[in-house]
Amino acid sequence: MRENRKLHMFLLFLTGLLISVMITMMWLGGSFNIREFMSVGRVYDVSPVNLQQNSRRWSYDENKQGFWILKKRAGKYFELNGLDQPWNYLYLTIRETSVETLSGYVRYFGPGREKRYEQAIELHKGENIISLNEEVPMVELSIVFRKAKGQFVSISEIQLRTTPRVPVSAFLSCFAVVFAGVAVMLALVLFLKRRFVRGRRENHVIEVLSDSVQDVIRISGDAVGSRTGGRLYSHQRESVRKFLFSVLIVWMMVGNIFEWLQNAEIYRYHVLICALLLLAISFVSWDKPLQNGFFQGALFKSWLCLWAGVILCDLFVYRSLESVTGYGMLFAGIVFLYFWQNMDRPDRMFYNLMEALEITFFVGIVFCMFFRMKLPAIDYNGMFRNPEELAMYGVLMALVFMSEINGMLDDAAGRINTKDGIVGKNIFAACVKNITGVSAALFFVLRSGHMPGILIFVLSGMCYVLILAVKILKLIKRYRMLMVHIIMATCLAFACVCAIFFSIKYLPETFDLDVTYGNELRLTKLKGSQRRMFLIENPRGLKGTKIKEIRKLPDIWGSYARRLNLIGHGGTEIIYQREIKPYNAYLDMAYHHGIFILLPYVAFQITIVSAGFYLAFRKKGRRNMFPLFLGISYVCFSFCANVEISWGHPLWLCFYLVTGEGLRKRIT
Amino acid sequence: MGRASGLGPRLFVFSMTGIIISGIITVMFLTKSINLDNFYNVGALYDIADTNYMIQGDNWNYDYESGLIVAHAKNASCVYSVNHSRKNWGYLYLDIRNLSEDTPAKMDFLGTDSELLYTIDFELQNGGNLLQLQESNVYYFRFSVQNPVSFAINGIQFQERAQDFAWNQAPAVFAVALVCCFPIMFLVLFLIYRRVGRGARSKRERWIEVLQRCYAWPLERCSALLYGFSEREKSLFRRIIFLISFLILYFSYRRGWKGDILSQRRMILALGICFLCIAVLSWEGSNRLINWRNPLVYAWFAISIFCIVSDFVVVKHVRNIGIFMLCAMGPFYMAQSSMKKPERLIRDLLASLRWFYWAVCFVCLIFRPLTPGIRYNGIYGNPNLFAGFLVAVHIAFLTCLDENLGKERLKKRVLLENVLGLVTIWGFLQLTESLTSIATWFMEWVVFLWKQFPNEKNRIYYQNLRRVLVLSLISIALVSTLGKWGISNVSNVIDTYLAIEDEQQLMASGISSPLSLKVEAAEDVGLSERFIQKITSGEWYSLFTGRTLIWKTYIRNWNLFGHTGNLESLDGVWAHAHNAVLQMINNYGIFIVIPYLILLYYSVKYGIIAVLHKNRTQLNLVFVLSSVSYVVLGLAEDMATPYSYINWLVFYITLGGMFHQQSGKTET
Repeated sequence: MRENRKLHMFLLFLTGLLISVMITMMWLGGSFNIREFMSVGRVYDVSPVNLQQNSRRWSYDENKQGFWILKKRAGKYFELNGLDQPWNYLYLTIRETSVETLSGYVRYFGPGREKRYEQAIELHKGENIISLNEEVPMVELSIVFRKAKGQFVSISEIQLRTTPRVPVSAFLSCFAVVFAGVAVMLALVLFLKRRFVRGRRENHVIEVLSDSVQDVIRISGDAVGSRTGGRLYSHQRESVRKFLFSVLIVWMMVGNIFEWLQNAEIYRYHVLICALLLLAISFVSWDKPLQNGFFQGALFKSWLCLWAGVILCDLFVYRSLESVTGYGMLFAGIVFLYFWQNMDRPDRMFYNLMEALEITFFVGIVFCMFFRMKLPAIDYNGMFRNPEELAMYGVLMALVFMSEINGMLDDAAGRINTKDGIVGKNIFAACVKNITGVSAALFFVLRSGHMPGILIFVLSGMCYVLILAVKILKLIKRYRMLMVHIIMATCLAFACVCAIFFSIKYLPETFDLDVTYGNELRLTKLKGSQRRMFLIENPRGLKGTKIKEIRKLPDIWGSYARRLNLIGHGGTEIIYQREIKPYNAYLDMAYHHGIFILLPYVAFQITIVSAGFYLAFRKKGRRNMFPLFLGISYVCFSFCANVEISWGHPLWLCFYLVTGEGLRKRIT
Repeated sequence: MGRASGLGPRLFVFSMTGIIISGIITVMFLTKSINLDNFYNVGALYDIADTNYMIQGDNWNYDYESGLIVAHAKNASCVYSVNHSRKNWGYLYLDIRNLSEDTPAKMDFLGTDSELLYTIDFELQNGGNLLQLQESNVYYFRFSVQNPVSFAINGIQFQERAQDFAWNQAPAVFAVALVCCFPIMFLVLFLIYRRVGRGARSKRERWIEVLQRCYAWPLERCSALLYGFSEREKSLFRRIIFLISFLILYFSYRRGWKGDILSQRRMILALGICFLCIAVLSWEGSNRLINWRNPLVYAWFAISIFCIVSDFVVVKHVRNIGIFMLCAMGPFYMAQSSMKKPERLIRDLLASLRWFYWAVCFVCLIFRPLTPGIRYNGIYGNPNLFAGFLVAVHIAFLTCLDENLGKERLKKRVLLENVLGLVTIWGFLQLTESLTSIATWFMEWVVFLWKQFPNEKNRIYYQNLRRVLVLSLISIALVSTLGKWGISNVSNVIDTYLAIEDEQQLMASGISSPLSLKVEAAEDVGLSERFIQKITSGEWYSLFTGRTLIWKTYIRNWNLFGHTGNLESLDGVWAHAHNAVLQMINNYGIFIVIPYLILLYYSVKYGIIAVLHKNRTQLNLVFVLSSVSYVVLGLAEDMATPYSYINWLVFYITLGGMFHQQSGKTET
């Protein structure tokens, strides 16, 4: 308790926060509903893209981000969620208007634009709340302005609801009161616990269960491990591990590409293979009889609680995909971590994982050069199905290579005074590999056009560069050839990146090898006149592309946030008539596994970053920057990307497996 | 498999494997298709139930004595309904016997409102008559014959595709396949026996010890939590937990928990926790391992693995039985085997069964009146289920009686409870009119009487026997008068009738199918009449009350990994297989039949050995009784669907007592 006091206090604070959010939402929702705290009913947000499209009588002005009304009586249709349903409220926010009041109608349309109802409205600048006729269902609605020819109006939001919207101020004021109450309650509980519960009980149930699980792994692990890893030499174990890690990474990427992660029938087989590979890596790593004792510490407990929590939701919510993820990680992952901690040299597992990542990355580059073409004006997806995943992969690989450079420099610094000295050829080869790797990763991140990915890359890159620059400067004084190696390797890397750049532009088309995946997400930044100009040159160039729109994010987050509950949901929210993931890992986890999954999830992120700090700056043993930067990058991605790609992305795998590196070895 | 298992079981496994593979090859060859999801891939088939041939039509009478249909006039006709979810069929196969003379006939196919869709004219002949149907949904068909003739309908079958093969090829194909398969199977057997049987015997068998250690270590740790409990307290807890597990099964039936996957998961978890608690309560071992090297354990383990694999491949309605067996029943068996006096656990089981039974009697008396002419359903919605429950409880009373007969100081309360229990069970069984359960009841008595012969009889035994007989006569008199009056009237007098949802009210004559929901004449037909009717009918269909048709459907649908649930097998009813082996094959695939048959055989064998064992206790009778009861009841009822029947649970609970029966406990 003492060693993790800060973490425990933080978790207590987080618990209070979550309980307060829960109570506030239920209070504002007006009912005790653990399946949906807010009980908001149906909500539909009109897409921001739709709010920027011209109609016959509304002309969109890109500069002023609003519409000019062209006729005396001008209307625009807004397609709703595709279902013929009644709505109770229309929230229409006007950012800017040239007149004080705009009068007109809201028209209700059924299927086939059958007009059903018309309602007079008056709109002002700011939020307009319009009560709709709840007895008339509609598929589409149109807003028609009367006597508004030549007027300007900029609409920032249109939302339809069945229940009234709760203002943010009301939420915050209610939350403040509730949080104060909850905080007092928690403080009281803490006080009473300290006052009356002293010391630790013997045979604590959790410890007994933990020991029991370890026993089962130990006994079965010894039986299988002694017949697999026990029969191999050390170098053979390393080779097999590297191979299996490579297969695992490739398999996950293949599963992601072929959409197995979204197919309930196939996903379980996919996870089974992944879990078996992870188990195989574990058993291969057996080099001595296993021992219990490492199932301690905040990092492991949060890891365990996280996956146990994911599985526990299965008792309350029917899901076809999410539960398999939990089973796979809990059962295979726990064995993997146990074996990892029992290795004679646990660091080798980590380096094998990194080597496998490197191998697969270079294979991936070759694949992209020949088979994945970069289309003009469309963000590059690389070997993945969307640019975001490519950016995450690029960041991961940059971290791998940069930590390799860091390790290389540490090794060089350690050997420079020894008899062996530094072998120039090895350093040069390592420089070429790692600098080329970083450059290619940077290239992919930039080509993906994913702004959060680029920012995270820049952030981590700057930190790394500073650290590396200091080390290089220290080394250069005694080993001047290093500078030459680095410069030569940089030149070579530049050439390689140029080759990749031209290859992905021309080779797949030249050899007619371009491969397109099904349901690939193609994003473009081109809008309005730029788009029109581009389409004149390439009439079919933007077919099937979606426009990147940062304004969509609040709607998406809002849609997920208002559905938060205690036990989680299955599937994905439908926003703008299609399934859209939440673009936020915390919302993703809370939505799918219930709000309280955030406790272990956040605790895990915090502990992995703190373990990363320890590994990066420890005084004894070899320092390792990778877990720290991996943890930070993952946390950064968690805020604005769909980073929880279970069993489908190397970043996800590394983040959860690196726990093994973060765990302290506690063999009893 | 050691000395205990020898060559016999292995020979059986390989022979059965060879036969099954040959059978699969044969039907695949005949049907000219390779379909692992349905070996006999001839498309959908629907047999009209035999009882439908007995209906009367227009000048169309069924002669019950001769079993012939008599057309009294020209153009006599009869309308049959198509009670299958599929309505669009390709062919109609009509099997006619004893046709007095060939005659022109026609078949009118009718739609949902009995409107004529189309007509097919044909020449009715003895033997098979195949009609090709048109593309339309047929709800009824009218069968008419032009001349006055008499004939018997052997079968009317709707087929999706025409059957373009002859069964007379089957023996030759099967023989060839068998000739090819057997040498391969025996070669494999020989190689295994040669390689593993000599050199690595001890190593090979270590896996069962690993499994035991996986159970033993956690149990050892968890049992430390219960330090300080007396034997008496442990016994009480065990009884309560057993009772809870019976109640879970009962309420699972009543509330339909099995139908909803989330409720099912919670139920399985609760049941698993119950058995783990009993295991922890009963654990008395330290580092001692039990001799589990016998075919019964191997078969149980193989079944569990088969179930896990099948559950993984096929998403079933009822899942997780394999995991339940390995994770909950496995530790339970281990704990049972570790007990110095395992009869304590058996005694607790029997006691809780008896408690449950008396509670059921009370409920029946107060809330569930007997309706004249209707088979008594008791606390269930079907008389067969209630009868199944009764024969399970019967085991408890018989075992208890057997234990007490030789006692010098036989308590009157115990004697009275046993005798009254046995007599009331017989009374209830008569009211249910379930012939399968009565056969089981009879077999249980046979086993009980057989057990009495080897005993060394003494004066006390005969004295107790006399007391039992006298008390039995008094009880019979009381139950047949007061008891029957009570069950018929108490509930009506105090108006406390409790209805059960979806209750099936089956008439007492036994002519209709077991799945019929019709209530016909409320005549007071007894068990003997029902039995005589069945025996004298001379038809399989009548003897097994329509089960032959169900069995046929299930056999036709054998496949490799099992089906999601029950099949549409009797006039559109999704009935269970009415046979434990067929149900297992349907649920988990064809190959599960091998370990399942071994399990059944060795459970009976070891049950008998337990009775004859030199260190036997009086309670050892329970093993053979539960096995025999399970096997006999499983011949014509569904004993294999998990979590459904108390008999199922009792069988698997007592199975653990036989795991070490053959060789006794040994320290390894």
